Amino acid sequence: MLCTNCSDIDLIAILKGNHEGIPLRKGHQVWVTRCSDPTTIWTWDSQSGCEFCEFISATKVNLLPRNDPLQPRYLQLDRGKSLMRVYTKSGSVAKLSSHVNIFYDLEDGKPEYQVASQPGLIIPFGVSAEIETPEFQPSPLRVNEVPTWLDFSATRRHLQNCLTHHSSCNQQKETFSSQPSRLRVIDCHTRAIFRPSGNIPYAALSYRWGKSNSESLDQQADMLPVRLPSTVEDAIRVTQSLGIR
Amino acid sequence: MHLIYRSAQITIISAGDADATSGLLGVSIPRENVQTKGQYNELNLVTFSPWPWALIYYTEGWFRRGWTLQEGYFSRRRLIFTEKQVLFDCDEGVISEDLQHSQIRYHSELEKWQPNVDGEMIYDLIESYTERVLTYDVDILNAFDGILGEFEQQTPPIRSYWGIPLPFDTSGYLNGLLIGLCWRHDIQDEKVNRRSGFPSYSWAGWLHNPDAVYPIRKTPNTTLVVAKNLAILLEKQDGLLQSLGDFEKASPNSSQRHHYSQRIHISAPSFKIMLRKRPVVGRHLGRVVHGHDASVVRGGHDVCWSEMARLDIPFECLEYSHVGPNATEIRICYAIYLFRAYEMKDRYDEPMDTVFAFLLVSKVGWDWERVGLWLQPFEAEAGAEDPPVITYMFVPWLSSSFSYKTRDFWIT
Repeated sequence: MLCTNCSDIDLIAILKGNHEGIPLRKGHQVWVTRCSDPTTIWTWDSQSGCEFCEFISATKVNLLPRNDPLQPRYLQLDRGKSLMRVYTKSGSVAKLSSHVNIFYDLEDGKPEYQVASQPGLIIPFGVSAEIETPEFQPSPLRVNEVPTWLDFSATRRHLQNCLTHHSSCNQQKETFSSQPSRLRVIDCHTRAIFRPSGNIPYAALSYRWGKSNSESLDQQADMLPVRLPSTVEDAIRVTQSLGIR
Repeated sequence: MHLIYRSAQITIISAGDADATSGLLGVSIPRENVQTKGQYNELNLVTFSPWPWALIYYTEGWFRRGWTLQEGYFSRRRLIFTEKQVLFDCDEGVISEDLQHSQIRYHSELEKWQPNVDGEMIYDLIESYTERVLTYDVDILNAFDGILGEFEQQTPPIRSYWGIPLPFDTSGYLNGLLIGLCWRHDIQDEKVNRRSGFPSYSWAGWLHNPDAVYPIRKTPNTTLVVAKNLAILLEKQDGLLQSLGDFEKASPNSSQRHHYSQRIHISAPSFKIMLRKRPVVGRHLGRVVHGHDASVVRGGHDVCWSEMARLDIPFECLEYSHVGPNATEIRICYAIYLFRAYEMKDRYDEPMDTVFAFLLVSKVGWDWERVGLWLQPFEAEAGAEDPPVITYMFVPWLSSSFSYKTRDFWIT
């Protein structure tokens, strides 16, 4: 159920991109207006029992930095636009997508300034299912729920796509592409450490060492120790899943 | 070390708060979903991260570590494990888990992690690097050597001297060095410490938290008028002095800092200036920070130049002079006139018409140390080469100072 105030927003129209609203300045945000009065900007008026009001309250709890002394004074909506790339079998195409920004005004400072300097005060949302919009260019942004466990196959697809289609990512650093002479790599299957002969694809790891009391790796060792820091162990799994040995 | 990242196909980055022992989120540690879900009639609503870089930019982990700048910079592709989701990042853009089929180009400093860029970028990299934390203070240049080396490979090479980038132009390395001295601390805590073993005139000579910024940048139209009689000599480890011309002739790898002592010799017009405290308090990443600012007092009257001098050290550490008008305390140091430049820009690409640059120094033992930087900008007026305020007020004030003369400074 929606309260009277919330049902006065045409959310589908905003997501489809055929909603005009009131432009703040050229090429910038479009504030969401009321269906009942297109000249008045919609603002939030929290009502209990309204599903959209509950959603908005929840975004604040989840996304504003915890312990932040700044608290929102009032809230508005505007249509956000993103330029996305959508993959097809033959490559990727750029596409404009639209979503909705929940926009918090904070007690000190101008809203625009706050947004520029402190991300987190614009809370964007999209829809998790397709809306039929063949006729509109900005299509609604499709949002995924981030799963508990990383989807390795998706990551592998991104890498393969970059290796196949992104000329700039692949040709770069060509002049320096000789592999460092002291390079030693780990075979993720056998856990053997060896010097590569010739250029082989490998993954690097960048992380904080932390204060773990790890034994230094013996310079002469040719096998990894059985017990490794978990991050290294996980990185080996990820590397394997990417199709790199 | 950085070469390992450059020739890897992809770099796996553990960017969360976790360290080596904790594992990667989403691989061996389950992730908690932080997206908000809701309904609007038949629509299923889900929130997402608007600017995925915020996921690493505002954390104290990987992104705030000194060594990791080079590790990210030299990587071809990055798979970034943040607290909330995994980002796949390459030159084409970033793909986040919460957006379907996304590949969005964002404006961020990480986006510029590409090779073969123009020389201007070295200043941005220094700014980004000095925001980071090192476990060992002495690593300040070690963890940045890969990047400095990369810029040295360019034609013409951008060399460096104690971390100060030296782009080459018609002046040789002189203009580059002078502009390279014009960094200042953007954000400061009450306590500001020198980093021992590194010179005060370099950004590397100061400990974090002072983040170094380069507030003025060259443009293609910049004209730099070096102060009259200014000469700089570099002291080598063996005590011999080297001119910048000889530095230029020496092969690039001789710019390795261990061939040079910390001291440089500057002979330049200088004068004693009076400063008045100007408290500045700002906010950075939710933290209250202090700036050590001072106004340059022109004379007996309580009149200051509009632009402030940015001190490296608290005002109270300067030499006491007297109590001025309105019972304000006046402290003094020496100002070394470096140059006057036309048509520069600031770090946000806003044009700056004319700017005068002064290095502020105080005597410490036998030598001098840098204590601040004073950049005095002036707006141009149509038709005039210099606005009247420069011709009739600033330059006369500068040269009429009773202490204005060419002096020799050994700065460490």
